[in-house]
Amino acid sequence: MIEVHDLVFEYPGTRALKGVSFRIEPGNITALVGPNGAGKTTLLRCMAALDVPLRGEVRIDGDNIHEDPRACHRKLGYLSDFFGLYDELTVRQCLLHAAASRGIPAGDQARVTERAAERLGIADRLGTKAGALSRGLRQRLAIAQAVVHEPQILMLDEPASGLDPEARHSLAELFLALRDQGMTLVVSSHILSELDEYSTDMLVLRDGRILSHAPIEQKALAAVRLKLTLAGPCRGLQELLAGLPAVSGVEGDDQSAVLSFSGDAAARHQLLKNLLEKGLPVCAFAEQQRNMQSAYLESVRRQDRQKDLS
Amino acid sequence: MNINPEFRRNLWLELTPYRLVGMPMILGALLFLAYLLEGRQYGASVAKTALILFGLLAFLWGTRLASEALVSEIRDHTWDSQRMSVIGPWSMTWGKLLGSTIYPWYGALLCLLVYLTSKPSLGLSLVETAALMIGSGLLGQAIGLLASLQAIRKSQRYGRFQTTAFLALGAGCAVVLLNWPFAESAQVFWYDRVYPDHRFVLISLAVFLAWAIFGIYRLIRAELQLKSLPWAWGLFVLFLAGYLAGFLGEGSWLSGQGVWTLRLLTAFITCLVLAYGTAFSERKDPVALRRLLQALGRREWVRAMQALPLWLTTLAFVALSCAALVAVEVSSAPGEGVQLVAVAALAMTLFLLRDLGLLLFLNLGRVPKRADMLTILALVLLYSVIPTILTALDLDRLSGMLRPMPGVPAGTVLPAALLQAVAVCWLAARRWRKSPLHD
Repeated sequence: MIEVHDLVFEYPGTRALKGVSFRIEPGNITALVGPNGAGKTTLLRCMAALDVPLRGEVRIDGDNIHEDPRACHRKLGYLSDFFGLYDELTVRQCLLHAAASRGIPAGDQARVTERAAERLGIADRLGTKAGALSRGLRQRLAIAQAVVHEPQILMLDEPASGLDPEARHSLAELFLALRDQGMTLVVSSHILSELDEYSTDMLVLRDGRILSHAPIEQKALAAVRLKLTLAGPCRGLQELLAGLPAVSGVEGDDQSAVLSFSGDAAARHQLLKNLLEKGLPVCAFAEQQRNMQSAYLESVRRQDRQKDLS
Repeated sequence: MNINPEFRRNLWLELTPYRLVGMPMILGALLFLAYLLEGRQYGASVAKTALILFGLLAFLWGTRLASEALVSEIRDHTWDSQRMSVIGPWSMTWGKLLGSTIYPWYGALLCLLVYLTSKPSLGLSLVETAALMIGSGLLGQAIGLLASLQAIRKSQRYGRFQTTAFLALGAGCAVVLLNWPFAESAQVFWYDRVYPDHRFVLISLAVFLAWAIFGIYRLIRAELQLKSLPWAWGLFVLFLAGYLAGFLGEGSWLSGQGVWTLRLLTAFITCLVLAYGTAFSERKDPVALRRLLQALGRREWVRAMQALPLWLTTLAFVALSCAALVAVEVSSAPGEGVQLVAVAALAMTLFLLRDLGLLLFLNLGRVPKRADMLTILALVLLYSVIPTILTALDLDRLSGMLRPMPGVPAGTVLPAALLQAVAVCWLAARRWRKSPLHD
């Protein structure tokens, strides 16, 4: 569906994207993550044909977006991190304009406007001026504008920034609903906790390069991470833990450690028993949910380790 | 009915019921005041007031709104959404040009109606008068929008000063054309033929308006990421050079071969001015240049032409017109005056190369944001301050090495200009090679 090949983008004096290549399958919600300045916004703008790369290509359904941007724009919806609205227009006028400017025939504009407003939960605000909406409702209107033409792909740059937790949660529900209706989403953010709720894939971008791009398996996300805390330090704790069955990825120091454990409840009980039998002064032994934040940090650390080795 | 979405959006924003009622009330009050002051006569005073109000609305307010039509979208972060739309470049062009100015036009057309019905003393028919006024208003607004678009292509933001400059440029052009028929002369000599003054102005107005709108269309195409070859700019350079050269004809003080030399010189100077104008109004960052060189390196000629900056295209026309001028000079009877024109043209071309090299050199430097301003400063020094100092020190010949000057022999000015052009271009190329290429 979306193929990006060897994308290079430069600002005067800075190379923002350094040969980025990846492929996104239809029906996915891909979280585009990375630190500030990693190149997320530039990548999204190139994928939306708003900026022209120095080299490389972006294909949507096989069509090169930079060869025929107008045709590809019919398939795309894009919401910039600093989006704007026509504050003096009503919500209905904003949506009608968005529908008309995205090529919806005049006879269908009212219908798609109503549908987009309902989808985004702003149907009761159609007569309100955009300038009078709250931050969360403005965000919803902006997304409604981006999806009014029912695009196959929706790209959002930092969509939840500035929203309260309730609005973020409803945004996550909305993204899942759009995905269920057949849309492919690419969502950029550097706030990883908000992506946990809906992402199916994670694309990590750092310093203009792809660090990793892999599906986020919900099983893997839910894999047991155990945190062990001792009452006092125990030299060689990590080595000791690493030698135990079903234990991997031990991190920590002599007094506490986080480890991945692949056994069931009985095996976990056995593990705790082993630790106590070995005389470890265990004062806490708790499960830790593996989330996107840890997945991201893992891939960053892996990259750093590889860099150090090379 | 499928109405242009951009035009409809502007109608929603500009023509609110309050504004629709407010405009005729204010205009009516002012015109009624003029009527009362003229002794309750619907005549010259009312016509003059209507004309002034038309000028204020169409030339000043309308041009200002047209100049700000795009920058306000960029400022309010709505332009990206427009660029993501499927509105075609033509629809966007007229939607922006007529849509953003619809409210001033609403008032201006009311004033025009009053003016035309209050016995104007212009000496033109009502249709011609209306066409002249509407056309000049549209031209001013189109030039304002065109200039702002070009500025946006160069840099995504500009301030109040630039908006005022675009306003002055657009309104100035409109007022000059509108005033032409009021001048004393009643006819125009153009390519050895005589044309009635107002007809010539009306046709010129229509042609320039068409070019301005076409220019907006081409720049909006570029904003919408649609690729174009530079043929349109080439045609405009040829048109403008040919148009201006036509005014030097049998009606002036030269005749025969001299007329054609003078016409070629006019065409050459037009190309030269356009080369400087485009060089300063376009982006010259290393990325744009690299894109061009990359396409040339891969022999992707169409892509290279699409990436070709306008100043480079114009440079080709400068070289061609200079070559034509020299060829005409050489083929005609050799004389001192003849040689002077050829030498001056060659020197000006070489100095242009030097100046463009300097512009590139500074733009490839560490502070490209100020490069254009620094170049202007350097050119003021090279063309004015240093030559004046040298002249004051009785070093006229040295002064002639920095800029084209009458009386300086070809053997002095041409090698000096060539040396400077080569040196500056070498410096620019060296800086380019040293810039981080990454590849």
